[in-house]
Amino acid sequence: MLAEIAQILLLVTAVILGTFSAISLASFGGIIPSLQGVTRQMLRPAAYGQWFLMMTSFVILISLFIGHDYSISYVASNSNSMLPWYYQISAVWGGHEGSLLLWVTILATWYALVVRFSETLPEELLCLVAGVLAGVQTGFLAFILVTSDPFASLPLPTPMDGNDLNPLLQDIGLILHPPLLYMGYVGMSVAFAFAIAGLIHGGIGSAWARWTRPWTLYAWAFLTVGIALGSWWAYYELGWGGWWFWDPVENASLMPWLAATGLIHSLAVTDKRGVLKAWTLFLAILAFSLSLLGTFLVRSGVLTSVHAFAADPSRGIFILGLLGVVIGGSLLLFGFRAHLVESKVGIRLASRETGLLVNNILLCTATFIILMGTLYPLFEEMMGLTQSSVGAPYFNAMFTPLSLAMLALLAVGPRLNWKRHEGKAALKMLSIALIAGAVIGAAVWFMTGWHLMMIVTFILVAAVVWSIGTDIRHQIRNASSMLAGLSRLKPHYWGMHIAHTGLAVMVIGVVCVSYLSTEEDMLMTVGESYSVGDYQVTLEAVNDIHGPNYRSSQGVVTFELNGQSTTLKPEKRFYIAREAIMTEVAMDVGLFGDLYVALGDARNDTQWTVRVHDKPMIRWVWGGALLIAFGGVWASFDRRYRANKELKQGAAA
Amino acid sequence: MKKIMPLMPFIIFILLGIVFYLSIGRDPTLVANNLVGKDFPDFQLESLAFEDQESRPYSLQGLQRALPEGQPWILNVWGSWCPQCYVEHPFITALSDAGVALVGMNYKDETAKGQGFLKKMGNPYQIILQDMEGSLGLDLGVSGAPETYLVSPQGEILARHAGVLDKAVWDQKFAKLWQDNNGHQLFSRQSEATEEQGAE
Repeated sequence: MLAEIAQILLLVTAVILGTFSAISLASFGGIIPSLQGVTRQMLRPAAYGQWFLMMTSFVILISLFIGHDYSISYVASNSNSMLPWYYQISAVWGGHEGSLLLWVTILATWYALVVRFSETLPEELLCLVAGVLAGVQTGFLAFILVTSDPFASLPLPTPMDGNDLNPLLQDIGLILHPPLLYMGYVGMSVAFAFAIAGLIHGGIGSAWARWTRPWTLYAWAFLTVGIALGSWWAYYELGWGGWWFWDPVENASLMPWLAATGLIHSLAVTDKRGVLKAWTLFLAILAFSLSLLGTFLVRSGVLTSVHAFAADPSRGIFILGLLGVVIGGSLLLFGFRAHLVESKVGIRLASRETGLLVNNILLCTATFIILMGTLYPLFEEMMGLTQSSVGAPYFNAMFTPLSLAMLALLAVGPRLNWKRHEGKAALKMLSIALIAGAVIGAAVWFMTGWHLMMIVTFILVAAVVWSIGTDIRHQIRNASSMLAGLSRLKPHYWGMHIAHTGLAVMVIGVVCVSYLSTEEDMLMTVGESYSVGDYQVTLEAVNDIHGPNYRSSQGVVTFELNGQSTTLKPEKRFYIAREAIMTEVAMDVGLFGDLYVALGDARNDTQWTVRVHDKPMIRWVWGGALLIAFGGVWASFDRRYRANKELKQGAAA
Repeated sequence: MKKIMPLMPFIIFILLGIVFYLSIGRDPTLVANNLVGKDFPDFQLESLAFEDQESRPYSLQGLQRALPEGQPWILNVWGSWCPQCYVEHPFITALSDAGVALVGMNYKDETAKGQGFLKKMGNPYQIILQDMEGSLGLDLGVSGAPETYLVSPQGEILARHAGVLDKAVWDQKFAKLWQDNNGHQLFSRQSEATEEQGAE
């Protein structure tokens, strides 16, 4: 009964939104201007109404899961009466149909929020933005209703119990990961809608950018946290020290992130200087298109990966058609109208604008490289070659030089002035930095013998940090006191530096993990010491322990470094009732690195195989990502994006 | 030229769209992985306790020692949570009956459920590895279950099949490699093989 109601709600929502989208785009797109009045009247009721309807059907799906309604096909194949309640809720988005419903529910939420919090936006622009969002929403509701109905029932008799949730997905990280990632993916639809509305309506400029920026920052921050969470999950769940595998699904989330990163930077230029408009529009369309690709294409069976859900050709065709209309349509619109929006103002070579343009190009190149690498198996298949997947070596080889170029740019770019920078001073600054960097680098290399790539990266990171420090000092040079100066700096300024510092932190983590990690499997004799990396590792003893329902061999392993010692106790447990051996890994999680020990099998009474991992600075990777996201959110608090009453006239003009 | 540039993204998108369209409906499990021709990765895994088999740790070397010498062997990735594994099981059993050295890899499963599967369906495996965290699965590039690998006596991965293994796939992808690598004659009596197929 509830399921049928939910189906009807979805259908009603699709009809309302389809109608609204059509009249909104037709009236404000200039085809049937007479419908503008109706659109204005429908704007708010439609936005809040669809949110209410979507939330209701989503709550119904949750209640079907909690109520163990196995007459519903989706519930029966993704849940089980033995499943703990929190997994019963997360099972709602554990499969294809439910994750789609989550997707459209999140879109409904963004849509309602945009309409609610855009009082200062000219209404005709808001109607178009809402029209685009409603159109996208209609398309995906149709997709759900036609091919992926989560409320479809099973033929009788109703199964006694459900099939259970895929054990892979029974994990705390995966309860949170999809909703966060979807908030990011779907949030890109707002920037996309602003871009399309802007292309139709015209009037893309500073005011338009100022409306778009905070929405983009929120979505981008969600995406950042979502990706970081996924990476952390892979690290602790898969448990052998990797944090990024260049898996197609990971790539699918990284691509929109790179495009969105380009977008928030490009928006800054459009906001401050009113240029790079075509770039901004393109990146907005690109970020959302790649988000769609990320959520849907990977699940259509075109690309396979461990994460891929289902391979159903009819779904694939529908998705492709939908993507064709949404992405193809918007790119076509962009193709014909982009040259109309660009102002005739040129930009000078030595200026912040140029720096950000180069940033856009670098980020787009990175996106393109990942896209090609991810789709490479498809191309190869088309050419009739044997298929092979492009692995980490390709991505690392392509990505490393780009990252270094981006770091170098980050050290210089934010120090450049808007409009024009005194070329000679910039050159002087740059050459001093280069010489100092080379000298310090050579010295460090000579003293430590570190990998050259590591030293180059560290020098660049140092340059970035130094540049951030000097910039802040420069900004507060006229203040009466340091504190007074710092407190006067704006959130969007702080946000920028926080996020850039986050990137520096993350790069340090990535480089240290890549070049200084140790992973060793050793045969250790009790009482003897071995050196692993910088550590002296000793297997002190292996004790027999009796637990409540298991017997265990517990190793006592000490790590010594510079007189400091840490003791870890990995176990090998034998569960008596289940006759199963479980390996309990011992980890020492620290700000400057993780130590990981697993006890292998005994060769005889005193010899054991031991697996030891030393992962220096691994936490910095995720810590940096969180800082990046925090910077984005902080920047969005800037009053610049709030107090734009006066801008309303500016945009209408 | 200035007017063409903004249309470039659209043109690239259309080209990608065509590639996608042509790729839809192809069997995604056909994606080969580049481990074929490489050495089987080393690992440290516990085996699954089942009936007379005790749980004990295995490395690649230990596994090879436990298998018949000089013969190729099969690694079959399965899980109690995987519906197709039930479908494929009769053929795996037929291979076992024909004397193929079979190693099962219980993939991302729970010990009790894995044991339940074998209790219900029968155990065709000489050794059952447990890869709960998917560590060997990652090294092998396993995309899901079921998946089957043919490994030479020297430890080289000769072939991989993602998806249900049946007689047709065996004949097409595995049979020749099996024979070329010193595998003994299988399915000598045609009737037996057909019978097993019928049982599916």
